Amino acid sequence: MNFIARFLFELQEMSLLAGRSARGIFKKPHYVPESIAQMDYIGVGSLTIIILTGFFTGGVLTLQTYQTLESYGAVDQLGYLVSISLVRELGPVLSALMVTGRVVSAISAELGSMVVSEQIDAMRALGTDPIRKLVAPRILALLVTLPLLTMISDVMGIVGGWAVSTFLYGLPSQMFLNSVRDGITTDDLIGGIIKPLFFAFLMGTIACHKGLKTEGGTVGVGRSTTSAVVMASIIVIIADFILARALQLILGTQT
Amino acid sequence: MPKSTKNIGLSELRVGLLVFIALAVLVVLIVNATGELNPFKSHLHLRARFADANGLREGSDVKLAGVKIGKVDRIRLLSPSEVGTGPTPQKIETFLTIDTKIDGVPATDRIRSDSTAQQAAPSILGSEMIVNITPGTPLGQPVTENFLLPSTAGSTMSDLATNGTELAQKLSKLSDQLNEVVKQVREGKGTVGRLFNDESLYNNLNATISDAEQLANQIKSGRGSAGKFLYDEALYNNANDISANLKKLSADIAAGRGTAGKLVESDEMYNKINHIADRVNHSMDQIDQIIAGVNAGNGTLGKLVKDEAIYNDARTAIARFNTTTSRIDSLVAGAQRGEGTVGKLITDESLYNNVNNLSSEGVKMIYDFRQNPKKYLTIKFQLF
Repeated sequence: MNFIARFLFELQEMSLLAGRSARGIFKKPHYVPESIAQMDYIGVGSLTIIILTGFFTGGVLTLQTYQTLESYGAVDQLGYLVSISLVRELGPVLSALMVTGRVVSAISAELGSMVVSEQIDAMRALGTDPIRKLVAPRILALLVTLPLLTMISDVMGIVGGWAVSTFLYGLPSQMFLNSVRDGITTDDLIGGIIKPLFFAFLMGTIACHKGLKTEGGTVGVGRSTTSAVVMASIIVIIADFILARALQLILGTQT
Repeated sequence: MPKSTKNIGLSELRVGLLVFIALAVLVVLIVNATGELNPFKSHLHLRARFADANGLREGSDVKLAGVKIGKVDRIRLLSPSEVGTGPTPQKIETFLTIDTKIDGVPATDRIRSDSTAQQAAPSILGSEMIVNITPGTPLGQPVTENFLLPSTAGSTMSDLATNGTELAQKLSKLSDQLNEVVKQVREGKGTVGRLFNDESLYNNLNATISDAEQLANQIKSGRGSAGKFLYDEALYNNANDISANLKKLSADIAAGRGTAGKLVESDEMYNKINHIADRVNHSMDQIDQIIAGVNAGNGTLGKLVKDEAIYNDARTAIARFNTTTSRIDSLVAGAQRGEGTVGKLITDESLYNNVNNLSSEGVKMIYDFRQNPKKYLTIKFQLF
């Protein structure tokens, strides 16, 4: 079994899982309480880390770009630069990575333990499709919550940037906020919401796939968790590049 | 789903392969949507020489009339033997890679031998430079591979800065002069200074305006000639009367009444004047004839005017008269000097004395005669 065949096999398995879970989202039976419980865990549970990372990312972005902009005498564009960076790139990607670290690992570990302890097999024996019962609600919850978390991250980032520019650099607060308002367009916001949707689907698929493919007892759970987080992070960043390019073309922001 | 991953054939990886190929195609399409990465694209290579790279580097854009058509492939320094002479010798050579087709038209049709290459700065910030090529005209030939494009000096930031400095110096000089003018104006010197600082013009204008206002008010109230002119109807009535009279007069004239009417309407006067003019004309003709005769020397007057004999006679007579006069002059002079009979007569007093004596003797004699007439009146008749 060579590397290419393994890679193709993984891809195939993941695609099939993604297809089945997508069907599971739209077709009955719907496991609504399970979905809501996952949204609570993924969304509300991740709120703290999202707020903190968003705030400090915006702050550090302002901290680092202020001096460069000052040398060009373009400090009034600070809010523009910070908000564009956050809304277009940093917000979606950092939120996705944070959620990957917190949620993908959790999903992968949970499903892995269930596989190892043969709960999945038991579920199948009882006539419940584990993909619809376990995978679809988790992917749905990610699809719903990740864009929301991204928006919160964006806002917190702008707040962080505003705080640093106002309290650390003494920039008039209105100057920062005006350039934010002038800078952000609807296209940026649309792009900032489309990206997390893709990320959520990819992350959920990878987490569930790795969890369900766990082999080799408790050691295998740890391995599958690690590989799920690593793979999800890499895929998020690669997908971000391709999505950024695609959105530039679709929304016409390419210069 | 195969339970073991030890031995799986390609037939069991159909979905994986399909997904992989689909994703690969999608990624390639998205990343290369603008067609930048095309290994099959053919290129046209051109060269251009400049005095200085000036921030131009490998990978800089090449634009045709501002539209990107290629990139700078390579830049090399010319060897000393290749460097031309002149005020700004060209020291570098750039190799330009240009798309073979630009908007569906072959590049060689757009870039022709009369196209020129310039360096241009796309932005004020940074030292980024591009090569801009001007589109060729139908007069030029299509360029060939490795054609050396003629280059013209573009405007770089340093040129701009140099020009700006000169301009600033001139402006500074101008502003100094303006400062001086403004200072003088502020001090109230000159016409403009007075205009700004001296209030008399304002006061005069103010007074004039108030006078004008007053005048207008007076006129409005119908006072004075102008007021009467505007508000009193007498002038209008008079003018109306006059115009009525004039109208009547013209009607009379038109109808041929009165002298003027006759003059205008009757032909008699005209005929008479015409007749007089004829006669005057006739008289003038006769006078013309006479003058012609005189000119021709006919008749007494003609002779008088044209014949020189009279003139010559008169000349001779005058000369003789002159001679006579001079002789009389000398005669009189001689007489004055007492020469000759007449001179003696005039100058010698003896004749006078003799005559005087004679007269006194005569008186005595007459006295004697009266006393003794018989003495003298003894008439003796003697008959032989």
